[in-house]
Amino acid sequence: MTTTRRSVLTLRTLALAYVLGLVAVPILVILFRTFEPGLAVFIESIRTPAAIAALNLSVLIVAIVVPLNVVFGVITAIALARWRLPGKGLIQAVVDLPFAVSPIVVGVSLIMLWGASGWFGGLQSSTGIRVIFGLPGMVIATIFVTLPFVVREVEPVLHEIGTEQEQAAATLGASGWQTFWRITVPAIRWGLTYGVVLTVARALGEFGAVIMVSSGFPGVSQTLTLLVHSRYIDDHNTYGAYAAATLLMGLALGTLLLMTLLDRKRSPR
Amino acid sequence: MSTTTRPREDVVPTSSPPPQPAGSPPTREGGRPRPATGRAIGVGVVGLWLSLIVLLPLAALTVRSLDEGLSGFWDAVTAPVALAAIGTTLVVSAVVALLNAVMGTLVAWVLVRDEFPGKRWVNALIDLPFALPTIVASIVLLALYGPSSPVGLQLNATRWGLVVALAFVTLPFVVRSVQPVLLELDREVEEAAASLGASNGATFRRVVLPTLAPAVISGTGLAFARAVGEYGSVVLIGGNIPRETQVVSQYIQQQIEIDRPVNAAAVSVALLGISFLTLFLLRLWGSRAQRREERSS
Repeated sequence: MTTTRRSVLTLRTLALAYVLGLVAVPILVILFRTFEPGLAVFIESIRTPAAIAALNLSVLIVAIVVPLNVVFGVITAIALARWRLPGKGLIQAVVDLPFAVSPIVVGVSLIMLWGASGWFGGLQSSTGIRVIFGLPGMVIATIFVTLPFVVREVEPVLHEIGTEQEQAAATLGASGWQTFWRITVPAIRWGLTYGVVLTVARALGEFGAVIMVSSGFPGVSQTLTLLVHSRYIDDHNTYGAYAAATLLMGLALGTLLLMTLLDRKRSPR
Repeated sequence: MSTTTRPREDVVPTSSPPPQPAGSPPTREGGRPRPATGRAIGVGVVGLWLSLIVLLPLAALTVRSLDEGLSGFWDAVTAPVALAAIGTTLVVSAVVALLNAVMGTLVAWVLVRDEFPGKRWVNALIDLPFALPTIVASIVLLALYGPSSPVGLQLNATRWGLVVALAFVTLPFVVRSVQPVLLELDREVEEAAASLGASNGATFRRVVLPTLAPAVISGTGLAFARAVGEYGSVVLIGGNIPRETQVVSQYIQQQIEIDRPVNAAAVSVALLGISFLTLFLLRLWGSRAQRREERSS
């Protein structure tokens, strides 16, 4: 298209105004508000017992969710990429399902299944394990929303590398496990790492599904995202909410950076 | 990444496994029974895992939504406040989807065709909404558009607040689906159209837009699907005023809070239905467009 200087400038201004007004300026404002009273105030605000407990809980959930997603995600990816199964299309659809479900609906569904009056409600009365309003509920909610990531990052890699090397290894007498550890795992490691990073980011940031199944007591069952919410809504502590949000934002930006670096590593070799 | 993550290229997943070379798979009399049992266990594990985490909760939700019969379900979904929440959600999501279609395409265009200092940074900013937790998005937008706005722009507890929050979280969808198509777009065709006397508007409408349309529509559809179910980013800025700014997810959350689980489940099923319908139509349309393209080429 022949574009005049003026129309180019108009389009550029519009696009920049949109992106900056929507993303950059709000972030700069919150950073300014957070660090305006000084670094010491910020550090104090994110080192209160409730904040430290929230960070610990978030990290604990990530530490439980990631290994589970890695193990089951890799098995699912291998099943989808390598095995001849009936109803593969159905499995593909189920793996993608969590992307289409609202976080709140995830929470309600888990309450309907695991809650005191849910299908598995007997578990609580017989064993005393509280799923809903306990740590297991928050873990299950986080697994639900992060389930697709590892599968969706590993499966294409498995398709791409094909089966030749694995077959060669098998011909040379390697057992199934040896082939898996020596051939498959090295081949999928970057895809897998990328999937893990996506899982960590989402697990740290999940809010809607977790707030539905958490009892939300400060210092006990609050994750970082719940802390931001309760500081703003319950405590009317706007500064505290800004500070906690800035901490979360820092974690998210770190993850984004890691993703960009990894993306370079895993794409065309 | 809170979210539905990056725009997905695999809206129409093509999952045909490479054909297996003859003789390689363990045959029944091939004397390698272990992979077969291993596979059986593996399939069982996958089935159990997916059922326990995804299918059973959704099944429980659906069954519980019918606890008071079909009429109970219908009453729950058509309660005035519930209908108002569904209406608000659909209207605001449609506005946000259209906003994305126009502004997202424009941003992609500028990022591909224009050159200016700092372009790389702007490009990097696009991914930020997917990386930021939704509750952080809410707080971040409140800092600029909330009660203590430094520019006096107060959008909290208004529908415009909802639009801003949802536009923020859905920003990457259209931009990231249109960008690669624009990069591959042949400029010669545009130049040819121009040299044949087509005006800018005509070139855009007749040459550029048809090529971009599939990407724009798929990005817009995904943005709509995401907006419909969104909770975290609207929870602080939306105000949660019934019949005005309360969105469906907030209504559902409220029903759980006041101990009306059947209502919550019924409206949840309705919301699920809307999301699935959107994604289904999108997929249907995508595979149709693909077939048309294959036929024409």
